[in-house]
Amino acid sequence: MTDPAPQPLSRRGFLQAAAVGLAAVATGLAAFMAARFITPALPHAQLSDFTLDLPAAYPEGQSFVPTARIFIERRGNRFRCLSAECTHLGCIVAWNAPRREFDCPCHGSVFTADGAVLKGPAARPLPVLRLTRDAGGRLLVQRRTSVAPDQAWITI
Amino acid sequence: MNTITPTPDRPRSAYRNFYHHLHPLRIRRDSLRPAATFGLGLIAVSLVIIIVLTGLLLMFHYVPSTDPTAGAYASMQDLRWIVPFGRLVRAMHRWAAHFLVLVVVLHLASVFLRGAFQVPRRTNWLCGLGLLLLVLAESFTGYLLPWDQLAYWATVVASNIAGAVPLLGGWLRQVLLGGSDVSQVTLVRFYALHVFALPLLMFILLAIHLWRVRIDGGLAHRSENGVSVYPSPLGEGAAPAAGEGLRPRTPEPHPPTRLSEDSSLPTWPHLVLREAAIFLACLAVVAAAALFFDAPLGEPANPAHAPEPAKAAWYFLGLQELVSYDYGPLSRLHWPPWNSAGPVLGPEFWGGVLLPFLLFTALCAVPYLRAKPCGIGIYFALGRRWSCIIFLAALLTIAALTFVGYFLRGPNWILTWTW
Amino acid sequence: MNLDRLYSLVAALSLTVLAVLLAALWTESDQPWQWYQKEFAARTAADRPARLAAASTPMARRQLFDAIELADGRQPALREIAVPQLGEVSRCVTCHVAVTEPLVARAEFPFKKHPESYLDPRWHPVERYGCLICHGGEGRATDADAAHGLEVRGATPRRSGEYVQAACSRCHRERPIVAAPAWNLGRALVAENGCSGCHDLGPDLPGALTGPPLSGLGSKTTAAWLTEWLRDPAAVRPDTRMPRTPLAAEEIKSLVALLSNSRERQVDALGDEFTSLPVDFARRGRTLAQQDLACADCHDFPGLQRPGGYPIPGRRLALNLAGAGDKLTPAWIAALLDDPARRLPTAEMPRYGLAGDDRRALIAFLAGLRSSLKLPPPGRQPADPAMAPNDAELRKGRDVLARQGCPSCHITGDPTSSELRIGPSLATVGDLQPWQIDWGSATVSPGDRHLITYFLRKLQRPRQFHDDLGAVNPLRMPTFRFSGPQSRAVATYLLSRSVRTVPDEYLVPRSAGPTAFVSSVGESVPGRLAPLLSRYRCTACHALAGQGGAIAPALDGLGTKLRTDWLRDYLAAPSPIRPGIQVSMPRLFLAPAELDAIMVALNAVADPRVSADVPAISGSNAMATEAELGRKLFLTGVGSDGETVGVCAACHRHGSPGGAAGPDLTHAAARLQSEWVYAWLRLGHRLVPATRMPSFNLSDTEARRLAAFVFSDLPAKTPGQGGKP
Ligand code: HEM
Ligand code: FES
Repeated sequence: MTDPAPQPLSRRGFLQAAAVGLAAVATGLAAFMAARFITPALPHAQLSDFTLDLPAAYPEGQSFVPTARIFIERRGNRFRCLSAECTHLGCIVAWNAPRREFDCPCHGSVFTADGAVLKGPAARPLPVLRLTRDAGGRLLVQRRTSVAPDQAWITI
Repeated sequence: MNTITPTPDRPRSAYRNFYHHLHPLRIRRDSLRPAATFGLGLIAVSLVIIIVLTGLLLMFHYVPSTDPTAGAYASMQDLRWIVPFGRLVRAMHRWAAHFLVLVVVLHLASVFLRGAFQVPRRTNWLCGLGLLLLVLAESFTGYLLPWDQLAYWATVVASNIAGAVPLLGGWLRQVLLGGSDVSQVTLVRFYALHVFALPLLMFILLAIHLWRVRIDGGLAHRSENGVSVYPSPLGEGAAPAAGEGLRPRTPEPHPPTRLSEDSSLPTWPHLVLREAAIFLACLAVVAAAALFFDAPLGEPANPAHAPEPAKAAWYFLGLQELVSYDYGPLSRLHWPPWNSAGPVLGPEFWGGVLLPFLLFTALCAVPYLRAKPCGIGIYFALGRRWSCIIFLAALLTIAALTFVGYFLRGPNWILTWTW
Repeated sequence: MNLDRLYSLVAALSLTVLAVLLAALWTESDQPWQWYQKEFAARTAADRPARLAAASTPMARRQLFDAIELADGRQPALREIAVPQLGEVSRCVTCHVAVTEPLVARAEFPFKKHPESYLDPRWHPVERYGCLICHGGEGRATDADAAHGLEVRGATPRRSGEYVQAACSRCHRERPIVAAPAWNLGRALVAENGCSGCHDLGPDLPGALTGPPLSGLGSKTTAAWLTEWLRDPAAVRPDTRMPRTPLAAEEIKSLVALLSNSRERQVDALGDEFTSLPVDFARRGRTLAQQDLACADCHDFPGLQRPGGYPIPGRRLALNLAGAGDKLTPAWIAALLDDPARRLPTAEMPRYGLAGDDRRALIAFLAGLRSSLKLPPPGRQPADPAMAPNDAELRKGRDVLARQGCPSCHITGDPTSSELRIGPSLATVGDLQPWQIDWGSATVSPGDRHLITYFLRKLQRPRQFHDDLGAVNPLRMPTFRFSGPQSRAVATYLLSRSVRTVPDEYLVPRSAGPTAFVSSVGESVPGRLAPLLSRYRCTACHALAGQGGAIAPALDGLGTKLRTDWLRDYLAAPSPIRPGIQVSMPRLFLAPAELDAIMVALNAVADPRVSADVPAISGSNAMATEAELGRKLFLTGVGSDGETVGVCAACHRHGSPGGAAGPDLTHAAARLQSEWVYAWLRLGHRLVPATRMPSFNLSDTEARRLAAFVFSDLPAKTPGQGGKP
């Protein structure tokens, strides 16, 4: 301010640039480190697979499993598993038994029992999740893997 | 100007406004000498900034709860083991806080020995003392937050010292603890104090403190001695331009005086570069210390078992020494003194309450003990010889007590010679 | 300082800050766990499809996905198993990447797979148990030393090998615990060495007197033997459980004086009768001991090998009888045989109804068992008033007795002796933090300062950790002669002594035994049975209503299980029922009247689940066809609906050839009641929880047909012959 404006590439100018530049780089690095610091280190700490009950524990029709946020549907000895998370913005859909459809309380999306969209705003169907059994015979659902609708049913 | 219209210059002027609250236009060459104050105040400010920034980061992870698996202790463990740079940030916060206590005490000593507490800086001396208290309170409240054994037991001890304050003690202790024991409630209270209440007070006081430095004519300088008119708050006597906003609240006794061209330098960039250098140096030292020395974390707090020995942070060990002495017949006195059924005034009162209180009162009284300023801005000025000697003696005593407490106390607070 | 230099200073300091930050960045990105994950992903990139197919548990699949993503170039990521119910977070799987990985066979740490059986999802799914409950350590840590609890104060150091079994008893309440052999052995050793005499070990092992009473020793043995014994018990009988107590010669002298001063008039009264018996008496006694009395099932004899090894590994049921003749006066042996409960209250020795020459022969045999110690034969030793020790001597003896804690294991019979435990409580010793251990003035390297080392060293040389006050207040723990594995087993048991608890849902119940129904037979029955059972010491080996020993099967429900006629014959002359059994039922030489009384009482001990109104099983022609269908089922295992239920003949035989894993059923009809067999086939484990036979969930028809087959070659059952009278 009080000093006369330095000539380009004068000694003073270089030193000034170096000081400001290095300080800026250091600040940048610090900011990067701070960003890493506040990023969760274990974002997927929860297991995405859930061991459920023995098949016998699920009655005919739809049952909601709160821990896994899924619906288990049973027809005789056949089982299928649908994610209960609305594909719009993640609310939990509710099973509307008389109308045989899933209703989302948040913005009114409606899905069929197979998960297909009947009414928006949701654009994608509810994912059908892979259902298997563990060594003890209990149902096992993998939240991370969805399967094609035609492979939805497993027979026990 | 009757309407405030945003102009393109407005941010700029806001910045300048801010700048000029803290900086004069010119500064004495003398004050730029490193030995003038050893830059201790600036170091303290730098450390405060580092503490605030790292503290903000820590708040992203810290959970003020006693839950062993998802609470404070677990978050300390996570900082240590899974959060990227968690160790670094935590240790920086911790070491900067330790340095700050040391630096503030040295700063106080420098101000005292230089006679800078005298008129017109009496207010700022008091303000500084307030900051000292806040720094200690911050350290104390922060110490509990990791919820490890040391934290827990240091707080138990300290809250019992607080309980020894006559009349108010019981209430004070309950308010601090939020009950009768150190518990989850205590943790939340300390957390609120540590991250909000105390910092808020500190910023207010710090702003006043720095602003007063400028109002009071910059650093104390030998040239003020014998002058009845003090330097202008605005340094080089220009009246503030309209809209630049610095309107001195206290126009008396500051008639404008000029700092001559050759005895002073423009603060930009001479002072600002030095400030930057000091900040960077502090940052480098704190970060390097944090890189090499991890902040300690003991076992999780266990109310059933006191560790041996239960030591507070080093800067409270002088105090802990004082409360561990036998005050002979004094500790058989009651409160109130005529009521022999009242509580006994034990060592925690004499050493933990009364002595520190007297010390602090004395520090507050210091600027008002002498009618006429003497030896302003001169280290160990002859006229203040005795007060300097007494001050140093007191400081050394505190240092010695701290040393004994830190190095020579073993299990059960027994004196040991470890080397 | 001019401006140029100021600018350079600021630039240089910026550079310094930058350097420090870069150093921090470098340390952060160079951690061992990242290396492990990359290495593992690289090693296993090849056989993805096979691995995907084999992964059956959530954890295994999770690992697999991670490994695949890693191999596909994702950055290594931290992993954890959170078990909120246990308040645990284990990040062990961050480095131990393959714990539940199905296809990793053999690899080095940390790529090793966890031994399968423990993590079997049926028993201990890793999501429910995590790692820490068994292995200790600091689950949140991600660097090896800290995670293994080696540097963090307050974390239990990691446990591996047999020490992991210290955790089993936190959930498992059954004893012994099936998959915890080291812990079981440790517990047995602690119990039989009488540790709980001196130390409180908590409710799992309440204090018990493990040694014989010390009163009347003057009538039982000789001063010479006692002196030899106290000097070093193991020198007299190498396999004794009595530890070597640190005693000075002086102390031994006063102890012997005190002990042999105590005499028992009842024993002395038996007199000289047995001192000189004909030699062939001893031979006859030997045969008796070997055959009818089954002494060798519990005792070791010189020159006699036990066929089966000990029922509890490494644990003998009773004394080694070598050298018994050196030690015991014949009069005392006689007194013992007459009333074992009185002479040896803590031993499981049954009472035999021996009389006359049989009794004398056995005594002659036992008194003839001499050792190489060349001690004077303990003939009849009259109380000699001239030899009686003076009061000062006796007082000294009493002092030593109390100080060394002899009353912890022995009833002293001395009213002045203290019965207080002289050792510190070990009820929560497993929770000791390394820094809480008192190593005395022993030098221990810092790396060794943990609990397991402490236990092992203490068990080896108990008195090595004395402090500066050692001379004034010496450590008194005697030396036990534990082998290496035994010490480790004891250490495992001690580690399990802890106040730590698990949520109730984790507790494995003590298997619901037959105690549940015995009360339904009426209060009077155990009441009537009790005196007989205690007279013959049946409950030393058998339990009834949950009370009694575990050496032989429980007696509950016998009345609805066994046929009275068979039981009567069996009690009169027992013969082994099951192949490979280790302790056989001894012949008790019951008097006929007593046998009758026992029969009546046992018959009344019924199990209500075995009901009398079962469809008739044998007799009619229709039953013969049923039996024939049962035979098919027995041999082929094909049930009534055509599905395979299980081939009985794989383990049993019934006339025809068959397996030998289960009892031979050829004569089962003579032994068992048909109602019981029917109930057994239907209920399986629900009737007898401890059985090794699988439950087949047979239908009513199947059970009836099989029962009919088992009873087929028997005449129709007439009422009163079998069932409840
Ligand atoms: C958080 C704690 C504190 C901070 C951040 C702080 C900061 C500062 C700064 C930056 C200055 C400018 C001069 C210099 O660089 O030395 C200053 C001056 C001053 N400080 Fe402090 N200070 C603190 C605590 C104290 C304390 C504890 C006292 C004494 C009780 C005190 C008394 C003064 C006085 C009287 C001045 C006037 C200027 C002079 O030295 O002549 N301050 N302070
Ligand atoms: S979240 Fe379901 S409709 Fe919006």
